[in-house]
Amino acid sequence: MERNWLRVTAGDVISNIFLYLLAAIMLFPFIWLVSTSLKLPEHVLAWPPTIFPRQPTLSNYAAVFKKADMGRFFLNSLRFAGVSTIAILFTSALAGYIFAKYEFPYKEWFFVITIATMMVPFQCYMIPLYMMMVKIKAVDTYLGMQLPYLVQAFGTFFMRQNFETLPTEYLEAARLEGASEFSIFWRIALPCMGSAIGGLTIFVFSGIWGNLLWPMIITSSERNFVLEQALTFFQQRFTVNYGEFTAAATIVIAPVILVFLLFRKQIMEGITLSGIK
Amino acid sequence: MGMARGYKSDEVSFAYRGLLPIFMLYIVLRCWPILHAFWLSMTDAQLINPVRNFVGLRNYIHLLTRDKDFSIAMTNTLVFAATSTILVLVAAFAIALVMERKKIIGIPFLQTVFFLPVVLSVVPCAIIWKWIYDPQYGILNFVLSNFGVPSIGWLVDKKYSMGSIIAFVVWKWLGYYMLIFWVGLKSIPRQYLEAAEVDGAGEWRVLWNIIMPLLKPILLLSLVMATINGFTIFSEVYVMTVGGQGAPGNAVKVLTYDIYERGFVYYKIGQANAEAVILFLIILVLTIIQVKMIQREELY
Repeated sequence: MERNWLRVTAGDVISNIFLYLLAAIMLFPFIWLVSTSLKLPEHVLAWPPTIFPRQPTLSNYAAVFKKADMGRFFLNSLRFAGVSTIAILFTSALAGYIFAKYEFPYKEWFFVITIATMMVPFQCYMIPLYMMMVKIKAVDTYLGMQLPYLVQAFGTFFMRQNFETLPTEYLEAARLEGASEFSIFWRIALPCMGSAIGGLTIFVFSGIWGNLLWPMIITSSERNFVLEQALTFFQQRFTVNYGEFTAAATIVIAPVILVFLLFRKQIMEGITLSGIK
Repeated sequence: MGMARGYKSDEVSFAYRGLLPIFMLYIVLRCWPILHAFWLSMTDAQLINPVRNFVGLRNYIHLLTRDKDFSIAMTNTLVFAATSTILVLVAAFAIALVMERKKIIGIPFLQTVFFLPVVLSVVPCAIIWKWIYDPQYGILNFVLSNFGVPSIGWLVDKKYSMGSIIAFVVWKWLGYYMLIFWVGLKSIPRQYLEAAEVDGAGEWRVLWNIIMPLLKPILLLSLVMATINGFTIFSEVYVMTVGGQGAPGNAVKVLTYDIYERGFVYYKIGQANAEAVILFLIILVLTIIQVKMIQREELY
């Protein structure tokens, strides 16, 4: 709503104070995280605690890199989330496009079976999925981790909804010029889907990047760990050392915060994709 | 029969060639494991023992009548889903409402701050909160000690552990629902609100008579979505139980965690899958409610 900024009421002032106080509470954990990670071991447990480290040090960060192969975990996460995103985007776009723009026998059956899987939470079929990976000897391999994330019912549904808004005349015109069906999809239909693809990319990537359950089930050797898993494992194996834990957590979230601040608007839209139609 | 209904043969052939490989992936990676879960739930399967006998509904009867872990997990899940859903939705709606109805400076900045925890993955966030909750050196106890509150084991004391995890989850997901509500509030046509203000309707009247009815679809859908998320929560709860200062497993055991433990720790595959099917049925009911609501909104 357009507001008259000359007439500010007491309610407006109180509302601002309230929201900024809340924002401070929301932010405080991050400030406390970075502050702790920069403290010397003897200052981490100092009482009363201080917000600013007395002698800022990077020793916790050095210890984390020495104890754990963070670079490897990071690359594992990047490969898992990256390949999943590319695969899910491709399968979702192609299947969504075919469901939206083609008529063929038994189409409704294919569509209903595909979309119905959206209703079943992953936790409900993770055990049979694991047993399947045992059968094909994919346990504790990258392949086993990757396989379940080649398709996503929500992605297919979302892309179909978007392709349905694309005028069919575009496609017919290309067809008259003799373009092959695949090149119509790849060269004409897909480039019109820029914002939908962008949103879905962020939605899928952030979802897989934060996935802990499946990597935890399927991998057991440290070399296959993704970041989330490595951080969990770190807490199980080492005695409680909050200087190092917070340093490790800071290493993991710093790049994400940077990317978030750079693409704030797109990311906020992308992540709320399934909530806002 | 295909041609008779006006299918074009080259288009049908492309549709099948494009769709079938993807559809096969859905069959192998989704449909088959789902059906297999139903089958396994009616057997006495163990992860390591290849011999499986059909036992009918025995696993279900066992879980629903005799199994202590299951009833603990079910109670915890209900408490968690109900409390976290109500808290996060009420708080998110209040914030979105204040942002939209009052003269607020720097809304983009505030939204970025509230949304930040949503973007970050669970485990690093959980590390921060475990440290804040630490019974001996945690900053929360330090702050409270200034008001004369004695030290509390926020996670380790089972009286507080569930509440502490709920507070963490509300912090984590607040920004998500805030953004959804805010987008909804922005889409309310301005003339409705101006007309009400000209009529001299107070803030509460505007809220109850104009904003709430118009936002009802978004509020109801968010309610179902948050409830489904509450029932299927895993990472947020699991991570809070890990390590020396974590919450005791039983006090915060939820259904997904119990399925995981039953299957991958105790190897009781039959029971674990029966529990998974029960969880699925709950989600199914919630999803049907959701679909019915979407259909009803589109009829108007």
